[in-house]
Amino acid sequence: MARATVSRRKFLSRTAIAAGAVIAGPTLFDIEELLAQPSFVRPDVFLPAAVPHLNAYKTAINAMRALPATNPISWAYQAAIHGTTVLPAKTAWNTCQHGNFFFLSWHRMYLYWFERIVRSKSGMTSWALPYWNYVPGTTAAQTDSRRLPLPFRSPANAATNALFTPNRGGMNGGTPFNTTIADASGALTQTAFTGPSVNFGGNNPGSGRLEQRPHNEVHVAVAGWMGNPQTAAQDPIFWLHHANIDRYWNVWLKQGGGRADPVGNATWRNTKFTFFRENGTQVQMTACDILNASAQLNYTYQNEALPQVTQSCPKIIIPPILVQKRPLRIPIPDPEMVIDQARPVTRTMQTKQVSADVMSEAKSAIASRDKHLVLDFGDVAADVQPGVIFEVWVGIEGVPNEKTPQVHHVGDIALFAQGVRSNMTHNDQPHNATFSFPLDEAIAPALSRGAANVNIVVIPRDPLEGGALKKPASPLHITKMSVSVEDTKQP
Amino acid sequence: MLSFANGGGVHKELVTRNGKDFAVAAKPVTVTLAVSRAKTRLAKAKTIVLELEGVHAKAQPGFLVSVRIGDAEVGRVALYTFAEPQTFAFDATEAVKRCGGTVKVRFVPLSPLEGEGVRVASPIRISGVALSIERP
Repeated sequence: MARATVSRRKFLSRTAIAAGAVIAGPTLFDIEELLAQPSFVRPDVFLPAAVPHLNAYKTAINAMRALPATNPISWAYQAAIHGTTVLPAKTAWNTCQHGNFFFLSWHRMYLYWFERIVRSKSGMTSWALPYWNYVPGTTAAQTDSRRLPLPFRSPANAATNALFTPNRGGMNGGTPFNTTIADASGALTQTAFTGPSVNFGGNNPGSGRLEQRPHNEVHVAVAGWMGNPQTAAQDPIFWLHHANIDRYWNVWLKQGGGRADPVGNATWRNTKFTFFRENGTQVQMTACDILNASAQLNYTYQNEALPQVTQSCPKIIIPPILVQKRPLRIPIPDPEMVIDQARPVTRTMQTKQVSADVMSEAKSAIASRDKHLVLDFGDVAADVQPGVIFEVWVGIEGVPNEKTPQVHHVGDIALFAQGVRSNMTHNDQPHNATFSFPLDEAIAPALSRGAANVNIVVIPRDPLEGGALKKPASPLHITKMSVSVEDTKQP
Repeated sequence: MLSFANGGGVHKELVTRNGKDFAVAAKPVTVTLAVSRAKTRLAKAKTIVLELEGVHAKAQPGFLVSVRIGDAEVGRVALYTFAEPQTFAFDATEAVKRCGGTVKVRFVPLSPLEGEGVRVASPIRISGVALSIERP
């Protein structure tokens, strides 16, 4: 691909983006160094423009493989940044991010610095990483797009073809992967980068749809080195696969419709990752440095719809106010609760003790469309997985039966990741779980008839069908219990 | 109702969970979730999420798993990071609403390559299947 020159307008545009990053915090890599670079276009591996890039890629791979594994710009070291089984680990090894919302940002940084190293070793000053443009469909061209690109499997000789490795499965023989694997629509139709369980870019923890498909599925399909994060980046096709995943990030943003990077999340925005320049020196980056590939990192993709969506880390982060919550003074004596037997445990909201203005606020919230009463359990924890589900009922006497209205069943507690102390590794913050339950429908009948007390009943049950009372394998501790008003009206 | 740590106000209300550990290999596996006591809540829900917990394998499994409810594929499991337990979440809203008092989740092994049968290098283990209602 021919490299583009940097126009004055584009220079200023880049400077503006870079300035945005500076405002958000100290820039972790040298902006001047970036601005001195020309613009690069990552070619579609199946188009003629990619041919010189693939030839130069071979040259660079051979040069990088000739370096000792202790050299940060060697092929082995670069692959080990993603993952390795070699011990002891060196700086930045095994730092790949999967199953969380850093997946896209970390891999963009990783590819960017790898690309610079390859360029410096390739003998091609305009070198850019090709992308594996696999697509779904049944035409010959579509099916061919899901075969391993020919230069990566022919000649099938690792000694003479740096793009070939025998460490793959059936795709080395030319078999295409299934059409559905290349279907990224399930990811692209998501509108939230993070937040809901099903999203585009992942939670913390939790993988997004793009990571699941096509990313994970292509790794499994290629198999061999590619099938394991500890070895995947040793395969030269790894980098082209990830360039395509990176391209999909741009495609997703370009659709609009509220799609945006989670720049309001300080953890996503500020977490630093370490890589190496082409001269072997360390460099650190955050997501704020890589939000816009064209303006901040000087590359676009062949046939990409331009301009790319421009985003930057704002000077002052004002997260969207989704829910405003304030406590409501409804006394719950002795709120601490320990459930360690196969029987319900009850606490009582003393509604008779509630002042008139608080009662009025509670009733007003129940009647309102934008406000809701919520029962909060704080510091919920068990030493090991309790192995039961704790049903939470409000406004009942004793154990509910089939005739008990379901509105009193306000929710369940099932500890999974949070709250189980034995699941926390040394990297985990020692946070217990917090649960919130909707109260409006459960408490309304009691408040309207002026009941003196309203029971909160927690019932341990077998999670399997039948749901009999069951003793927890480990006692569940609920330390805090309170009622609050949630206001979901948007500002 | 579980509050997400990073959900920006997303609330998750667990409906049911089957905590029985099982493995998926060459043959399909069906897991049953009892939802009869939550039919009303599910019918009103805007988003129903199916979660697979503790998904892992001893080695790269070499196959994919189609996760189906009724006739619909609600998602797929492709274990790339296989050694550490992973959680997979799928939007199962429409599929669950078509079910009655019982939701049968079927796990069907698939080959990733066209025209090839399933080759199981390592079974995929799943430690729990849960159904939740999610609201923003």
